[in-house]
Amino acid sequence: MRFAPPVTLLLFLVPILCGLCAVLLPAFGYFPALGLHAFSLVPMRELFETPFLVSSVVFTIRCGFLATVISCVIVFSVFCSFAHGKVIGFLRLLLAPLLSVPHAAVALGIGFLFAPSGWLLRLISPQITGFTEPPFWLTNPDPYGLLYVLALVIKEVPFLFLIALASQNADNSQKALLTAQGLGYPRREAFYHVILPELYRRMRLPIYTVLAFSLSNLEVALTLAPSRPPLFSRLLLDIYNDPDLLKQTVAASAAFVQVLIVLLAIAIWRVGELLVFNIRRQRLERGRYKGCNFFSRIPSKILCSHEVRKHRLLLGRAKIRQSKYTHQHKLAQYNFGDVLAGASSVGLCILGILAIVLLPIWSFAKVWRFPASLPQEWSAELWLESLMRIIEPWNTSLVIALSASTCALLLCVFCLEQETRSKNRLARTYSNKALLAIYLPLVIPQISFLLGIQILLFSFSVPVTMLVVIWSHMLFVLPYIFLSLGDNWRGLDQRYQLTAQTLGSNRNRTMLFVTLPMLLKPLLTAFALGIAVSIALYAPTVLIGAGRFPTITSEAVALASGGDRRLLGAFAFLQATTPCLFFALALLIPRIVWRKYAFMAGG
Amino acid sequence: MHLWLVARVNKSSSSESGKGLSLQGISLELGENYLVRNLNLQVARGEIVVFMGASGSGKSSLLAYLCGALAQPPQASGRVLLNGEDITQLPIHMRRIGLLFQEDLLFPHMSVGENLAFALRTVECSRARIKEEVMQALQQAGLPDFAERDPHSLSGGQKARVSVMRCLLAQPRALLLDEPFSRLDLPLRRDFRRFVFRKILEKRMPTILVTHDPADARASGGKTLYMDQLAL
Repeated sequence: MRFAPPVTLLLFLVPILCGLCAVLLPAFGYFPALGLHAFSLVPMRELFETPFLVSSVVFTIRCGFLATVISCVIVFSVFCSFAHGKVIGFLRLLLAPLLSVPHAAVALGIGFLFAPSGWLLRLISPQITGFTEPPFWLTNPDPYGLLYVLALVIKEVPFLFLIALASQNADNSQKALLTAQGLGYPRREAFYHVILPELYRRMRLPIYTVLAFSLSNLEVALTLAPSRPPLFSRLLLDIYNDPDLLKQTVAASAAFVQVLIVLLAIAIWRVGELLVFNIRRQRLERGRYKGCNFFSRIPSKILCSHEVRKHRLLLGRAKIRQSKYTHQHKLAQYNFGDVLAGASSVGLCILGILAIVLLPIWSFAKVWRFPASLPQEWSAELWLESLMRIIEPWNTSLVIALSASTCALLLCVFCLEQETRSKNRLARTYSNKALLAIYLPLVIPQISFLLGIQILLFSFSVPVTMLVVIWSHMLFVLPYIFLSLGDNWRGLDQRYQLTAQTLGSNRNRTMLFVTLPMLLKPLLTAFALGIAVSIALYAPTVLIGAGRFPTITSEAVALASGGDRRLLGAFAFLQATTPCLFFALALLIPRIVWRKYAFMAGG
Repeated sequence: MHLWLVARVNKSSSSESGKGLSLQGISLELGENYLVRNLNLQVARGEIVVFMGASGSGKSSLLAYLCGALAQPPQASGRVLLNGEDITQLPIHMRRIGLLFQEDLLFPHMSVGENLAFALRTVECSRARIKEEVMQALQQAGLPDFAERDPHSLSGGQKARVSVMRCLLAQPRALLLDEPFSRLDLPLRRDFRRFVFRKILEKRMPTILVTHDPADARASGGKTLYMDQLAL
C-alpha cells in the first residue's frame, strides 16, 4: 500500500515524459532507428512548408477557444440563473446521461442530424422547406467548423456542469449569495463577486482539460471538421500516416508544435482569467454596485407568460413589483439572460438526445428516402449480417475497458488509502501535490506524447500487444477515476475507520469491511466512468495499437469518412449504449445491495 | 443513585491505584505553542478524568494521541502506559482503547446486530458465541429485538446505546469519550450518561472524558483538568 503513490506516478510520469522526449528528439531530426543521428531543423522546415499549416493552426485555436468559452458561459450562466433551484436538478437529470456517451458517438449523431439529408431537415421537409431532395449544402462538414464546435459543446457542457455541481458547496453558496443580495447587489452581480471566484478556482483544471481536448482531439475532428483547412490534430495524423517513414520526423515536429499550441492556449486563457478577475476586483473596490444589468434592461414583458402580462395590465407595473410573493412575480424575476441560459442548456440536451436516438434508427433502417422523417422499411438485417464484424471490436473494447478500469481503480484505491493512512499532514500534502501529475494526460495533447511513446516502442522493438494498448488506455482512464473517486474518498468521515480500528480491526480489514462497502456507489460510478473513457478513446487505440486492435470507436471513426451509414449507426449506437449500461449498473447495484439500509441506498 | 455511583467510582479509583491508564510527560506542540505541556496523569481502573477547555485547545488531539490516531502536526511526545504496558508505539487496533464520539458512528451498511458483531469478530469468538453476545448486549441496551434493524431507523438515544455496547464488546482496557453526550437533549443526556457511567463502573475501565459541559464533569465525579492550565 505504501508504494502505491510512487508506483502510480512511475507508471504515469515516466511514459509521459519519455513520450514527450521521444517526440522532441525526432522533431529536431534525431531518429537513430531511421538512421538519423544528427540534430537538424529539416523536419521543422518541412512542417512549415506543409500546405494550410498557418490556417490550420488559426482554425484550431479559434474552434478550441470557441467551444471552451461557449461551454463555460453556458454552465456559469445556468448556475448564476438557477443556482439552488429545481431547474438545476432537472438539468442534472437531462445532462448526466450525455456525459457517459463518447465524443465520437455524439459527433456521428450530430453529423446525421445536420447533414443535408439529415434528420433536422427531414423533420421540416417538404412542408416548411419545400425540399423533396436533399439540398447541396455544405453542412457536414461545414467550412467554419461550427458542427465541430457544437458537438464539443454538447459533450463539454455536461462535464463542466457536473463538475461545477460537485465543486459547489450548495448551502454555503446560497447563504453567501443571499448575504450579497442583502447588501444590495443584484443576483448576477452577487454571483460574479461571491460565488464565481471560488467555483472557478475549483474548476480550473477541468476547464484546462476541456480547452486542451478541444484543441487536440482526433475523433470529433475526423468526424465533423472540414479537411480544408484541417484541424491541426487531423493534419498531424495525415503526416503520421504518410507511407514515407522519414515523414515520422515531420509528424514528431507537428506533435511538438501541438504541445506548444495547447500550452500557448492555456497561457492565453490564464491571462484572460487574470484580466476578468482584475476587473472584478476593481469593480468591487469602487464600492457598491450602482450600474444596471444589461439583460435586465430588456423588457421582461416580452419574456413573461400570458398570465403575467394580464396581471400587469390589471395591476399596473408598480403594483406587480410590490407583489413579491406571487407565482407570477417569480416568473417575472427571470430576465432575458436567465431564459437564454436555460434555453441553451435544454436545447443542447435535446440536440444531444436526438443525436443519440438517431443512431439506432439508422442501424435498423432498410429504406429511408429523403424527405421521410422515419424509415419506410425497418430491418434487423444489418445487425444479423454484420454481427461478427460488430461483435469482435465490441469484445475488444470491453476487454480493454474492463482491464484498464480495473487496474486504474485499484491504483486509485491504494493511493487514496495510503493518503488516509499517512499520519503526517505535511507528507500527505506533498503526496497530494505529487499525485496532481496524474492529471497530465488530460492537459497535454494525447496525440503528442502517444506519438512519442509509439516512437519509443518502435525504437526498442517492443511488440504491440493488447497489454500495451490496455496500459495506454489506463493513462487516460486513471485521471478521470481519480477525479471522480478522490473527493468521495476524502469526504468519508475518517472517524468511521478510526472507530473500526479502536474496535480491534486492523487497517486492511477496516478498508475491506468499512471503507470499501461504504464507498460502493462512488467506486462503481468511478469504474463506470473509467469504462466510458476507455470506450471513447480513439488516439491510443490507433497510435499505440497501430490498428491491430480495432475497437468500436476506431471502427466508427473509420466508417465516418464515407462508410455504410447503417453500419456506422450500429457502431455508434453500441458506443453510446455500452457506457450507459455500466452507469446503470453503478446506480442499480448499490440500491440492490443496500436495499435494507436507507442511508446507504440514498447516499 | 447518582451519588452512589460517584462514591463507587471514587472508591474504586483509590483502591486500584497503580493500574489503569498512565500518561507520562505528554506534550502536544503546535508551532511554538504548547497545547499540552509535560502532562503526567494516572487514571485508575474505574476512574473518570474529565478534560475541559475551549474549542481548539487540544482536547481531541490529546485523545487522538492516546488512541494512536494523531496526525501531525501537532508534534506529540511522551509515553502512554496501559496496565503497566507501554502502548505508545502500538498501532490503533492493538491498543484496545475504546473511543466514543459525539456522533454514534454506527456503520450505515450493517444492521444493528452486525455492528455489534463487528466488534466481536476481532476477539476470536465462534459464530454461536457472537450471536449470544450480541443478543446479551442488545438486552442490556434495552433493545432486545433490534438485531436486524437498520441503524438509520433508530432514535438518537437508541443509536447512542448501541454505539456504547459495540465499543464495550471489543473488550477495551480503557475508554476515551469525546463529548459523547453533547448531541442528545437534556433528559436523554441524563439517562445516557448514567448508562455509560454504570458500564464504566461495571467494566472497571480507566476513562478520559472530554466535554464542554460542566454538568457532565460533575456527574462523572472524577477530577477535572482544564486544558488552558495544561498548556502552561
